[in-house]
Amino acid sequence: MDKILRIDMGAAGGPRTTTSSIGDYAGLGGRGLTSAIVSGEVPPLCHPLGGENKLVIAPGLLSGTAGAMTGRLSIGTKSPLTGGIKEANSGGQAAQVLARLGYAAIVIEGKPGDDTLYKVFINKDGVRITPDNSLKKLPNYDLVERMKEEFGNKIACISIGPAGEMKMSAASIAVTDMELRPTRHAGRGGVGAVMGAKGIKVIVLDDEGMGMRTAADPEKFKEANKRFVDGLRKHPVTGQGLPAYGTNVLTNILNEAGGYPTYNFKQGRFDGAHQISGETQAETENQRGGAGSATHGCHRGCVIRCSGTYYDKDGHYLTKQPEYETVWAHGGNCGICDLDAIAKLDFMDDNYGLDTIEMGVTIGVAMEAGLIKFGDAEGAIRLMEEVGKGTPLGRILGNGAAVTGKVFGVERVPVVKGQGLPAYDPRAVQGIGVTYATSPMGADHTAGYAVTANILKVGGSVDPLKPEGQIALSRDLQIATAAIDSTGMCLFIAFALLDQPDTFQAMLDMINAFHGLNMTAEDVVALGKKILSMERNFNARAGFTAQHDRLPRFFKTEAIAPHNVTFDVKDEDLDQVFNW
Amino acid sequence: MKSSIPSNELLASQKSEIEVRVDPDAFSNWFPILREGFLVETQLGRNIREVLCQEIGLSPQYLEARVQTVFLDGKAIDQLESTIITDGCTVALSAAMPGFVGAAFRRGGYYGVMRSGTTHRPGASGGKEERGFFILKLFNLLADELAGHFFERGILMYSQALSAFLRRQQENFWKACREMLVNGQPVHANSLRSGNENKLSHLVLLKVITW
Repeated sequence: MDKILRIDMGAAGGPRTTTSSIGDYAGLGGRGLTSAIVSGEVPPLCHPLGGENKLVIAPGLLSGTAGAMTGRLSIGTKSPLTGGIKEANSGGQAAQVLARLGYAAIVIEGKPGDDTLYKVFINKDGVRITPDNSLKKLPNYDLVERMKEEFGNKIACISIGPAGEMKMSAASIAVTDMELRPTRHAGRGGVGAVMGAKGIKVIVLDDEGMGMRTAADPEKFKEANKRFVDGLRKHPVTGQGLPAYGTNVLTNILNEAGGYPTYNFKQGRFDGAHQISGETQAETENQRGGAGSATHGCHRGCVIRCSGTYYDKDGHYLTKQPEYETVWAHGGNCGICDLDAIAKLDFMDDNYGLDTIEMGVTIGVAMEAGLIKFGDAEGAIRLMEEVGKGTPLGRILGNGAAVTGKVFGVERVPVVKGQGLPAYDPRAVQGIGVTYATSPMGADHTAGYAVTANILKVGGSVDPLKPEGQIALSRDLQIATAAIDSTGMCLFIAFALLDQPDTFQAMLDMINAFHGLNMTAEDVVALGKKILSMERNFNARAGFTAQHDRLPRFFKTEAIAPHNVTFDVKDEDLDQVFNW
Repeated sequence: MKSSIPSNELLASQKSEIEVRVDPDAFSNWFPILREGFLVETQLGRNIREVLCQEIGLSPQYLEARVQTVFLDGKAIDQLESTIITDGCTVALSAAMPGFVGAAFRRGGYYGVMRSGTTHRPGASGGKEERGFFILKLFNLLADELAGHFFERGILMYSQALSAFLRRQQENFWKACREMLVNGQPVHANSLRSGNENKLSHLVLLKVITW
């Protein structure tokens, strides 16, 4: 994994590829690599859909190895949704396959002179780019079926649906899972719109003839991986809770805590939460049965297996198991308590190529505007169909909550830097509000997700009981997350790392044994800081100031029931998050 | 289930006893009742640890190892010993939860400051030392693990809530119910299926036992 593939879509005479050594980017992977390339090579003031922007697709440092949980793919660009730097992250098979093919990154540059649509095929023999306008407007599921017919079923696909072709700011990039379904998405920030602007519909990867990447010290790597897996399996969250219920296990907890944003962030509890909770979802899936129903991985090498497969009551495939954020966004946030309807909306998101969080938040804003009533599942499905068809209304909705709120004159629009807030109300959990406000990515629940800061002791010892604790913890979490996002490892490993220092050490040992390094916890911290600094620097040059690191005003002025709390972290404290 | 409970009336009221014998693989069909909450009679003014261990019978080891997230009236608890059960309060128990927010809600956790505005602050005990009721909710793994403990000894709930639960069940739920007794007398499933709570007392002691 020591080469970078560059595809110039604007080259005279058609797309041109060049392959070069990783060069100055050596030692970086995943988010570290995407952010380094975007920050270093993309003019910050460029139009996100223009030829100057670049789309960077990078597996992590450990992707393509026999290491567990190493299948995350990072996709970086200047975001059409936020106007700032973006790294969107996905599971699925592509990271493993791309890494085995030897690529540290694919960098897509330029812009075609016409609206020809291209497909890219990459295998051990090289890269082939061909125009194929027959793929236009194909939704992701149909597209992947076409690719299977053409290239067989040993492939992995990275693709966009109609939303990406229409350059909608909520457009995602789909990645196929183990069953070759386009269910995993680099969802946030409109990365699909950038791929659409580059004229690429699908990248097909085939690693036939390529083996696993081999470690510098195979024995040490194998031993560290075993300790790492044992640590994940013995932890109650990664070994029991997530496999049994998936991430949607959080619904009942957030609802009980009064932090479950309901009816477009009007209240913190949803009466119908028990009907869409992770427990109810898992029971429904288990009763209906079918392959991979309630416990399933999203890529090979996953030992947590927090996903699943959602079948309808007659046993027909509906979609993959919707995640907590999806169930919340299309469910409680919109007052919808029908799991089958939520599953249908999730399928539509995946098929059209849309970010489930952004679309759920957008439909919530549309409900607030009176387009349809809260709780109207059929109405929500109709709105999604408008998006898929690209009607004028659909184009508005497909460009996200901020645009929709502006068009329909809605005051309560839950976005930061133009990106919809995820499923945790920042008034009930103030610390996550700090991360929503200050992350270079816009409102992002995973930006400060890696709950390892107490092990890493980032920035020295923090007393969490002091008022400044929330600022310091958010900073530490963002640093730790940026570093883990570079490894290609799933962030869910963080739950075991939090409680089990030996599991954290096993992860470090894996990286060191594989790459022949001697990284310490301090080096991990330094890497996280370096990534965040690059991202903040890009955003500053793109015109972002401290005033962009704020939550919408209503979080400070509207108390949320049942606890009647507002977001009360001071602006001057928010401005200290990145002072390390 | 409503949280406003007139304890004096409840203590004095009659209770219908319902016992259901179900197929083992259908036992989990009844778990939603545990998640939505049921009544627990207790000595008021005692702390949560005392009530859970001494009255309900959870082992201290289980409480320490498995019950990682505790809410009192929707506010996260850090100290079980200094949190007092009061009349009509709601206690919710959960295993360790994923994600940053899951970690933030964990009791005594490093990230507790992140939800400082919604943390329960222990006050003076000062509660009346008399019998009363609180609502207990069991989420996720805890419902799975403690269902046998609670359903075997019986859980208290309003007949109205039980009827509402039964009314929304499908055919496969009823097929798995092998035997039903109301106050010791066998009844046909249809008599409960119709959700006719008028024939029951205001309070029901529900036992569910695997066949």
